[in-house]
Amino acid sequence: MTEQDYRRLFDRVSPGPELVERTIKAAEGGVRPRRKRHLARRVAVIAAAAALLGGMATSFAAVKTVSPNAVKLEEWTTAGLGTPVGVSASDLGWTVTVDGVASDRWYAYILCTLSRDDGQAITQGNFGFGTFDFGFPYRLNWSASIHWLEDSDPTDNQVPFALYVNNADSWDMAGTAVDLTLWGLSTADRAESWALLLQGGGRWELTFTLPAESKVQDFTAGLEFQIEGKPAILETVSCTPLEMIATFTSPDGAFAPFSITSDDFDRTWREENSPVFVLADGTEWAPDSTGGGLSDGSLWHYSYQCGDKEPLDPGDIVGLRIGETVCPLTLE
Amino acid sequence: MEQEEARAAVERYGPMVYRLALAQTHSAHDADDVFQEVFLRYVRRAPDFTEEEHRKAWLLRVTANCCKKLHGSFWNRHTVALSEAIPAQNEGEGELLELLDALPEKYRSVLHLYYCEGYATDEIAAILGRRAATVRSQLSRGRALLRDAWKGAEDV
Repeated sequence: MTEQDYRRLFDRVSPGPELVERTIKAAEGGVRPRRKRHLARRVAVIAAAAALLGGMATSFAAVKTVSPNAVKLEEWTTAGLGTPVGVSASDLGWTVTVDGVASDRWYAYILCTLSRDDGQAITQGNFGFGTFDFGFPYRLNWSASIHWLEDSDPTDNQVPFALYVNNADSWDMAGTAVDLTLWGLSTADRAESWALLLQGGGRWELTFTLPAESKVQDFTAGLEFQIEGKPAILETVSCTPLEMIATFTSPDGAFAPFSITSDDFDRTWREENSPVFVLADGTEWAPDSTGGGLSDGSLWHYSYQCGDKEPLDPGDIVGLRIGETVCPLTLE
Repeated sequence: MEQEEARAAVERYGPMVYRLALAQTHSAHDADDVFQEVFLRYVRRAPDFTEEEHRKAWLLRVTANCCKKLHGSFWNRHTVALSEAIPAQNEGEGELLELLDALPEKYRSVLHLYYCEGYATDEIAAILGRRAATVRSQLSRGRALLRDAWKGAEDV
């Protein structure tokens, strides 16, 4: 396929005259235009509502997926990558505490604890919230998910979880006020969940502010090395509590074999030569994706997600391995 | 906002907005909804642009966001054949439509803005609110998917 084929296809596309007129009239009148109603969607909504009512009793018992990532606030803060928060809210005998947050301008990883006020022991895998919101202005797009984390002490009355917020737009999250609200707690105990539901499900409101300063640390600019005899430069390594991004350049296009759109692309070679960070204790940290860049191989980026591993201290990174070659790195 | 200004925007940028909405949603019904929503927001917000290029980029950005919100609805998580909205005029176009149908949603807007509207990857990143590196990666991957699928179709 060529760009011309694609462009030719869409050149024929235009809104119908009726749609244009309807939109102009609505815009001029400032009223929301009447939408066409889709019969299939109506049926789907009714069916979903019926299924929801019918299945509500059994849905409480669903066991939540637990992330193998045992994130500890202490580890984050010790590494200088997290900020303690310590705000709590209680409702219906349950308390939610925001322990801390690790964030940069793109992501926020909010570490929380759910605890029973009556002191009974609880452990991972049995809890869920119906919904949550961060109180961001409506114009700012975001996405988020809850991760139930590994419970280090099943005999106590609390379980850890984290909210992973992704800035889905180009706004800067640093310093943003968060009005976190969680609704509708459910547990694996059906009777308990019904009791919570009959009391409204519960509502926990917690207000705090994301760190004003991004925790991004840049280091080791200008490290030169060779790939297949061609000069390459590790320009920057940006390290956040959640992600590490390495940017490479090569005036001779040394990274061309990495690009799937390049004629020099070699999948096996790329797998064997993707840059791997070497830590002081000898462990290695491989990229979590195939990276991206310019097809001529003059620019390449790699992302190394920290969220599924452990907090990273840039000082622990001692080298970069490309194939068999290890280049030493030093903190700036 | 003056009525004439609203009308001029719909007439001037309507096809561009509709093309992106259709490329992203693959559904004429959804593209209609997005089209109306975009221009209604335009009138209500009445953004003040000093340059025409900013107005164009704003409309594309809102279109992409509206499509994303529409796709977030559970009833929109189904596939619709793009050929229902754009009937193929020859065999080659039919194959291209099939390839586009198989293309994951996250690559569609990047490819469309690059191929159809002629934006550079940095500009696409600004419009879609993604990192430039992400856009470059998605463009590279999207093109590769089309090329691989195209090759596969030829091999059959």
